Amino acid sequence: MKACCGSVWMKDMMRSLLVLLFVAMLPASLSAWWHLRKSDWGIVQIKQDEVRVEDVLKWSMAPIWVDARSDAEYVSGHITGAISLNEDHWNDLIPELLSHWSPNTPLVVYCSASCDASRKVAERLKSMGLAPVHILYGGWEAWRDAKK
Amino acid sequence: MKTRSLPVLLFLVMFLSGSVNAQLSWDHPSQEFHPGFSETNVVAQYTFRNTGKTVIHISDVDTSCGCTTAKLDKRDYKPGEAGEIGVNFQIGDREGDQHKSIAVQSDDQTNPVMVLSLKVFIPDFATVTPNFLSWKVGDAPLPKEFEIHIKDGFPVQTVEARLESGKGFQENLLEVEKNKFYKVVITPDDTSKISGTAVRIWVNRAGPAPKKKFLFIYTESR
Repeated sequence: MKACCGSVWMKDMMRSLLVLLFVAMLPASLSAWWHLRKSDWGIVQIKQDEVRVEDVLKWSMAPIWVDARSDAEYVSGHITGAISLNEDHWNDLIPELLSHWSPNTPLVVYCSASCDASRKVAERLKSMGLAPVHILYGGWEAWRDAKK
Repeated sequence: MKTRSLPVLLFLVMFLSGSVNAQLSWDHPSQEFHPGFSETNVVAQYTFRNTGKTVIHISDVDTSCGCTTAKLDKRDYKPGEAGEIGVNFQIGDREGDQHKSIAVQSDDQTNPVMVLSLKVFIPDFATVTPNFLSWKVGDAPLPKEFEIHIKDGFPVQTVEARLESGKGFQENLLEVEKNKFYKVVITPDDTSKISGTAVRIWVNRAGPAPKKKFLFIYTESR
Protein backbone atom coordinates (compact mmCIF):
# COMPACT_ATOMS: atom_id res chain seq x y z
CA MET A 1 0.00 0.00 0.00
CA LYS A 2 2.79 2.41 0.98
CA ALA A 3 4.72 1.66 -2.21
CA CYS A 4 1.54 2.20 -4.27
CA CYS A 5 0.74 5.63 -2.72
CA GLY A 6 4.39 6.70 -2.93
CA SER A 7 4.58 6.06 -6.69
CA VAL A 8 1.27 7.90 -7.28
CA TRP A 9 2.63 10.88 -5.36
CA MET A 10 5.79 10.76 -7.45
CA LYS A 11 3.79 10.79 -10.66
CA ASP A 12 1.74 13.76 -9.44
CA MET A 13 4.92 15.59 -8.50
CA MET A 14 6.51 14.90 -11.90
CA ARG A 15 3.35 16.05 -13.68
CA SER A 16 3.31 19.30 -11.65
CA LEU A 17 6.98 19.91 -12.37
CA LEU A 18 6.45 19.40 -16.11
CA VAL A 19 3.56 21.89 -16.04
CA LEU A 20 5.77 24.39 -14.19
CA LEU A 21 8.58 23.90 -16.68
CA PHE A 22 6.25 24.47 -19.63
CA VAL A 23 4.76 27.61 -18.05
CA ALA A 24 8.27 28.98 -17.37
CA MET A 25 9.47 28.17 -20.89
CA LEU A 26 6.78 30.30 -22.54
CA PRO A 27 7.98 33.74 -21.32
CA ALA A 28 11.62 32.60 -21.52
CA SER A 29 11.22 31.66 -25.18
CA LEU A 30 9.45 34.91 -25.99
CA SER A 31 12.22 36.86 -24.24
CA ALA A 32 14.95 34.99 -26.11
CA TRP A 33 13.23 35.70 -29.42
CA TRP A 34 12.41 39.37 -28.82
CA HIS A 35 14.93 40.68 -26.26
CA LEU A 36 16.84 43.77 -27.28
CA ARG A 37 20.16 42.31 -26.17
CA LYS A 38 19.66 38.72 -27.07
CA SER A 39 22.69 36.53 -27.61
CA ASP A 40 23.70 35.75 -31.15
CA TRP A 41 24.43 32.19 -30.03
CA GLY A 42 27.77 32.37 -31.84
CA ILE A 43 26.10 32.74 -35.24
CA VAL A 44 28.07 35.14 -37.44
CA GLN A 45 25.81 37.62 -39.22
CA ILE A 46 27.86 39.70 -41.59
CA LYS A 47 26.08 42.41 -43.55
CA GLN A 48 26.48 42.93 -47.28
CA ASP A 49 28.70 46.00 -46.95
CA GLU A 50 30.90 44.46 -44.26
CA VAL A 51 34.26 42.83 -44.87
CA ARG A 52 36.49 40.62 -42.73
CA VAL A 53 40.10 41.49 -41.94
CA GLU A 54 41.44 38.33 -43.56
CA ASP A 55 39.56 39.10 -46.80
CA VAL A 56 40.73 42.72 -47.00
CA LEU A 57 44.35 41.65 -46.58
CA LYS A 58 44.00 39.55 -49.75
CA TRP A 59 42.73 42.41 -51.93
CA SER A 60 44.93 43.29 -54.92
CA MET A 61 44.37 47.00 -54.29
CA ALA A 62 45.14 48.18 -50.77
CA PRO A 63 42.22 50.15 -49.34
CA ILE A 64 42.26 53.46 -47.54
CA TRP A 65 41.56 52.63 -43.89
CA VAL A 66 39.21 55.11 -42.23
CA ASP A 67 39.10 55.24 -38.44
CA ALA A 68 35.67 56.49 -37.30
CA ARG A 69 36.48 56.47 -33.59
CA SER A 70 37.01 59.53 -31.40
CA ASP A 71 40.24 61.53 -31.61
CA ALA A 72 41.43 60.07 -28.29
CA GLU A 73 40.83 56.47 -29.40
CA TYR A 74 42.64 57.11 -32.69
CA VAL A 75 45.65 58.54 -30.89
CA SER A 76 45.81 55.56 -28.52
CA GLY A 77 46.18 53.17 -31.43
CA HIS A 78 44.98 52.65 -34.98
CA ILE A 79 45.59 50.63 -38.14
CA THR A 80 48.87 51.78 -39.66
CA GLY A 81 48.16 54.45 -42.26
CA ALA A 82 44.49 54.83 -41.26
CA ILE A 83 42.92 58.25 -41.71
CA SER A 84 40.94 59.59 -38.77
CA LEU A 85 37.42 60.67 -39.78
CA ASN A 86 34.69 61.06 -37.17
CA GLU A 87 31.49 63.05 -37.02
CA ASP A 88 32.78 65.18 -34.13
CA HIS A 89 35.23 67.00 -36.41
CA TRP A 90 34.15 65.90 -39.88
CA ASN A 91 34.88 69.18 -41.65
CA ASP A 92 38.36 69.46 -40.14
CA LEU A 93 39.29 65.85 -40.95
CA ILE A 94 37.89 65.44 -44.46
CA PRO A 95 40.79 67.28 -46.19
CA GLU A 96 43.24 64.65 -44.90
CA LEU A 97 41.12 61.87 -46.42
CA LEU A 98 40.88 63.84 -49.64
CA SER A 99 44.67 64.12 -49.88
CA HIS A 100 44.92 60.30 -49.93
CA TRP A 101 41.83 59.52 -51.99
CA SER A 102 41.36 58.97 -55.69
CA PRO A 103 38.24 57.69 -57.49
CA ASN A 104 37.65 53.93 -57.33
CA THR A 105 40.06 53.43 -54.42
CA PRO A 106 38.19 51.23 -51.91
CA LEU A 107 37.59 52.60 -48.43
CA VAL A 108 37.25 50.42 -45.34
CA VAL A 109 35.75 52.17 -42.31
CA TYR A 110 36.13 50.83 -38.79
CA CYS A 111 35.37 51.74 -35.21
CA SER A 112 35.05 49.67 -32.05
CA ALA A 113 33.19 46.38 -32.39
CA SER A 114 30.27 47.61 -30.28
CA CYS A 115 29.73 51.06 -31.79
CA ASP A 116 27.82 52.27 -34.85
CA ALA A 117 30.10 55.18 -35.78
CA SER A 118 31.66 53.27 -38.68
CA ARG A 119 28.26 52.73 -40.28
CA LYS A 120 27.37 56.41 -39.86
CA VAL A 121 30.67 57.52 -41.44
CA ALA A 122 30.39 54.94 -44.23
CA GLU A 123 26.85 56.03 -45.10
CA ARG A 124 27.92 59.65 -45.16
CA LEU A 125 30.88 58.92 -47.45
CA LYS A 126 28.62 56.96 -49.80
CA SER A 127 26.12 59.83 -49.92
CA MET A 128 29.00 62.11 -50.97
CA GLY A 129 29.64 59.90 -53.98
CA LEU A 130 32.63 57.91 -52.74
CA ALA A 131 32.67 54.25 -53.70
CA PRO A 132 33.30 51.51 -52.93
CA VAL A 133 32.94 51.95 -49.16
CA HIS A 134 33.03 48.94 -46.80
CA ILE A 135 32.76 48.47 -43.04
CA LEU A 136 35.24 46.30 -41.18
CA TYR A 137 33.44 43.42 -39.51
CA GLY A 138 34.48 43.21 -35.87
CA GLY A 139 36.04 46.66 -35.95
CA TRP A 140 39.34 47.70 -34.45
CA GLU A 141 39.29 44.70 -32.14
CA ALA A 142 39.14 42.28 -35.06
CA TRP A 143 42.18 43.93 -36.65
CA ARG A 144 44.10 43.89 -33.40
CA ASP A 145 43.30 40.20 -32.82
CA ALA A 146 44.28 39.29 -36.37
CA LYS A 147 47.66 40.95 -35.91
CA LYS A 148 48.55 39.16 -32.66
CA MET B 1 -3.68 21.91 1.16
CA LYS B 2 -3.39 19.37 -1.64
CA THR B 3 0.16 18.19 -2.24
CA ARG B 4 -0.14 18.49 -6.04
CA SER B 5 -1.03 22.18 -5.86
CA LEU B 6 2.01 23.03 -3.71
CA PRO B 7 4.63 23.36 -6.52
CA VAL B 8 2.27 25.61 -8.53
CA LEU B 9 1.70 27.80 -5.49
CA LEU B 10 5.43 27.94 -4.79
CA PHE B 11 6.06 28.99 -8.40
CA LEU B 12 3.42 31.75 -8.23
CA VAL B 13 4.83 33.07 -4.95
CA MET B 14 8.36 33.17 -6.40
CA PHE B 15 7.18 34.81 -9.65
CA LEU B 16 5.07 37.48 -7.96
CA SER B 17 7.57 38.27 -5.21
CA GLY B 18 10.30 38.87 -7.79
CA SER B 19 8.15 41.39 -9.60
CA VAL B 20 7.39 43.65 -6.60
CA ASN B 21 10.68 43.54 -4.69
CA ALA B 22 12.48 46.19 -6.75
CA GLN B 23 11.32 48.38 -9.58
CA LEU B 24 12.56 51.53 -11.29
CA SER B 25 9.80 53.60 -12.82
CA TRP B 26 10.88 56.02 -15.58
CA ASP B 27 9.04 59.27 -16.36
CA HIS B 28 10.22 59.83 -19.95
CA PRO B 29 12.49 56.98 -21.13
CA SER B 30 12.30 58.17 -24.75
CA GLN B 31 13.04 61.82 -25.58
CA GLU B 32 13.32 63.87 -28.77
CA PHE B 33 15.02 67.19 -29.41
CA HIS B 34 15.05 69.63 -32.32
CA PRO B 35 18.07 71.90 -31.73
CA GLY B 36 18.47 75.21 -33.56
CA PHE B 37 21.23 76.07 -36.03
CA SER B 38 23.48 77.62 -33.40
CA GLU B 39 23.25 74.92 -30.74
CA THR B 40 26.29 72.72 -30.18
CA ASN B 41 24.87 70.16 -27.77
CA VAL B 42 21.66 68.72 -26.34
CA VAL B 43 21.07 67.97 -22.66
CA ALA B 44 18.41 65.46 -21.60
CA GLN B 45 17.28 64.49 -18.10
CA TYR B 46 15.93 60.99 -17.52
CA THR B 47 14.13 60.96 -14.16
CA PHE B 48 13.11 57.81 -12.34
CA ARG B 49 11.79 56.62 -8.99
CA ASN B 50 12.22 53.38 -7.05
CA THR B 51 8.64 52.16 -6.71
CA GLY B 52 9.68 48.83 -5.22
CA LYS B 53 10.19 47.70 -1.64
CA THR B 54 13.96 47.26 -1.54
CA VAL B 55 17.01 49.34 -2.41
CA ILE B 56 17.93 49.37 -6.11
CA HIS B 57 21.56 49.48 -7.11
CA ILE B 58 22.45 50.88 -10.55
CA SER B 59 25.65 49.12 -11.60
CA ASP B 60 26.34 50.70 -14.98
CA VAL B 61 25.15 53.34 -17.43
CA ASP B 62 26.45 52.71 -20.93
CA THR B 63 25.95 54.95 -23.98
CA SER B 64 25.96 53.81 -27.61
CA CYS B 65 28.35 56.55 -28.76
CA GLY B 66 31.32 58.52 -27.51
CA CYS B 67 29.40 61.65 -28.52
CA THR B 68 26.90 60.90 -25.74
CA THR B 69 27.90 61.05 -22.08
CA ALA B 70 25.75 60.13 -19.09
CA LYS B 71 26.02 61.33 -15.51
CA LEU B 72 24.52 59.61 -12.46
CA ASP B 73 24.99 61.22 -9.03
CA LYS B 74 24.77 58.02 -7.01
CA ARG B 75 24.09 54.34 -7.52
CA ASP B 76 21.79 53.25 -4.67
CA TYR B 77 18.15 54.34 -4.40
CA LYS B 78 15.88 53.55 -1.45
CA PRO B 79 12.20 52.65 -1.93
CA GLY B 80 10.34 55.80 -2.92
CA GLU B 81 13.52 57.70 -3.73
CA ALA B 82 13.83 59.57 -7.03
CA GLY B 83 16.90 60.11 -9.15
CA GLU B 84 17.94 61.24 -12.60
CA ILE B 85 20.48 60.49 -15.31
CA GLY B 86 21.79 63.54 -17.12
CA VAL B 87 22.72 62.89 -20.76
CA ASN B 88 24.80 65.26 -22.88
CA PHE B 89 24.93 64.77 -26.67
CA GLN B 90 27.54 66.67 -28.68
CA ILE B 91 26.29 67.68 -32.11
CA GLY B 92 29.74 68.29 -33.59
CA ASP B 93 29.62 68.11 -37.39
CA ARG B 94 26.78 65.59 -37.42
CA GLU B 95 23.93 65.92 -39.87
CA GLY B 96 20.40 64.59 -39.98
CA ASP B 97 18.49 62.43 -37.54
CA GLN B 98 20.47 60.90 -34.71
CA HIS B 99 19.27 58.07 -32.51
CA LYS B 100 21.33 57.21 -29.44
CA SER B 101 20.63 54.70 -26.70
CA ILE B 102 21.62 54.67 -23.04
CA ALA B 103 21.61 51.27 -21.31
CA VAL B 104 21.02 51.35 -17.55
CA GLN B 105 21.99 48.16 -15.70
CA SER B 106 20.58 47.60 -12.23
CA ASP B 107 19.34 44.90 -9.91
CA ASP B 108 15.74 45.74 -10.86
CA GLN B 109 14.50 42.19 -11.29
CA THR B 110 11.71 43.14 -13.68
CA ASN B 111 13.99 45.15 -15.95
CA PRO B 112 17.71 44.59 -15.27
CA VAL B 113 18.74 46.49 -18.43
CA MET B 114 16.63 49.55 -19.21
CA VAL B 115 17.40 51.11 -22.60
CA LEU B 116 16.71 54.84 -22.71
CA SER B 117 16.26 56.51 -26.09
CA LEU B 118 17.54 59.89 -27.25
CA LYS B 119 16.54 61.21 -30.69
CA VAL B 120 18.04 64.44 -31.98
CA PHE B 121 16.88 65.96 -35.25
CA ILE B 122 19.77 68.13 -36.42
CA PRO B 123 18.61 70.78 -38.90
CA ASP B 124 20.63 71.09 -42.08
CA PHE B 125 21.55 74.71 -42.85
CA ALA B 126 21.35 74.11 -46.61
CA THR B 127 20.27 71.56 -49.18
CA VAL B 128 22.71 70.75 -51.96
CA THR B 129 21.82 68.96 -55.18
CA PRO B 130 23.28 66.82 -56.46
CA ASN B 131 25.46 65.37 -53.66
CA PHE B 132 28.48 65.05 -55.97
CA LEU B 133 29.51 65.61 -59.59
CA SER B 134 31.29 63.10 -61.77
CA TRP B 135 32.50 62.61 -65.32
CA LYS B 136 33.72 59.46 -67.03
CA VAL B 137 37.18 59.30 -68.62
CA GLY B 138 36.74 60.42 -72.20
CA ASP B 139 33.60 62.48 -71.60
CA ALA B 140 33.50 65.99 -73.00
CA PRO B 141 34.78 68.35 -70.23
CA LEU B 142 31.46 70.18 -69.99
CA PRO B 143 30.53 72.20 -66.92
CA LYS B 144 28.14 70.82 -64.32
CA GLU B 145 26.73 72.60 -61.30
CA PHE B 146 25.68 72.22 -57.68
CA GLU B 147 22.62 74.07 -56.45
CA ILE B 148 22.76 75.33 -52.86
CA HIS B 149 19.56 76.43 -51.15
CA ILE B 150 20.11 78.02 -47.73
CA LYS B 151 17.39 77.15 -45.21
CA ASP B 152 15.05 79.90 -44.05
CA GLY B 153 16.11 81.28 -40.70
CA PHE B 154 19.79 80.57 -41.11
CA PRO B 155 21.64 83.88 -40.46
CA VAL B 156 23.78 84.07 -43.61
CA GLN B 157 26.43 86.74 -43.89
CA THR B 158 28.48 85.53 -46.85
CA VAL B 159 28.91 82.38 -48.92
CA GLU B 160 32.23 81.19 -50.30
CA ALA B 161 33.35 78.27 -52.44
CA ARG B 162 36.86 77.02 -53.02
CA LEU B 163 38.47 73.94 -54.52
CA GLU B 164 40.47 71.94 -51.99
CA SER B 165 43.22 71.51 -54.53
CA GLY B 166 43.72 72.71 -58.08
CA LYS B 167 43.55 69.15 -59.38
CA GLY B 168 42.26 69.68 -62.86
CA PHE B 169 38.97 71.47 -62.12
CA GLN B 170 37.76 75.06 -62.11
CA GLU B 171 35.03 76.38 -59.85
CA ASN B 172 32.79 79.42 -60.15
CA LEU B 173 30.32 80.53 -57.44
CA LEU B 174 27.17 82.25 -58.69
CA GLU B 175 24.71 84.12 -56.49
CA VAL B 176 21.20 83.48 -57.79
CA GLU B 177 19.35 85.02 -54.85
CA LYS B 178 21.32 86.73 -52.09
CA ASN B 179 21.56 84.68 -48.88
CA LYS B 180 19.17 82.07 -50.29
CA PHE B 181 20.18 80.40 -53.55
CA TYR B 182 23.64 79.81 -55.03
CA LYS B 183 25.18 77.73 -57.77
CA VAL B 184 28.71 76.36 -57.96
CA VAL B 185 29.70 75.62 -61.52
CA ILE B 186 32.48 73.04 -61.94
CA THR B 187 34.40 72.57 -65.18
CA PRO B 188 37.04 69.87 -65.58
CA ASP B 189 40.26 70.95 -67.33
CA ASP B 190 40.27 67.62 -69.12
CA THR B 191 38.72 64.20 -68.61
CA SER B 192 41.48 62.08 -70.10
CA LYS B 193 42.49 60.59 -66.77
CA ILE B 194 41.08 59.67 -63.36
CA SER B 195 41.20 62.52 -60.88
CA GLY B 196 39.18 63.88 -58.00
CA THR B 197 38.96 66.59 -55.40
CA ALA B 198 36.31 68.44 -53.41
CA VAL B 199 34.76 71.88 -53.28
CA ARG B 200 34.53 73.41 -49.82
CA ILE B 201 31.48 75.61 -49.31
CA TRP B 202 31.51 78.08 -46.40
CA VAL B 203 28.36 79.76 -45.20
CA ASN B 204 29.50 82.48 -42.82
CA ARG B 205 27.21 83.77 -40.09
CA ALA B 206 27.38 86.20 -37.18
CA GLY B 207 28.80 84.67 -33.99
CA PRO B 208 29.35 80.90 -34.24
CA ALA B 209 31.83 79.32 -36.61
CA PRO B 210 30.82 79.11 -40.28
CA LYS B 211 28.93 76.11 -41.55
CA LYS B 212 30.77 74.06 -44.13
CA LYS B 213 30.05 71.39 -46.67
CA PHE B 214 32.45 69.34 -48.78
CA LEU B 215 31.23 68.34 -52.21
CA PHE B 216 33.22 65.71 -54.07
CA ILE B 217 33.93 66.04 -57.77
CA TYR B 218 35.82 63.49 -59.86
CA THR B 219 36.56 61.88 -63.17
CA GLU B 220 36.26 58.10 -62.92
CA SER B 221 37.05 55.17 -65.17
CA ARG B 222 34.44 53.88 -67.59
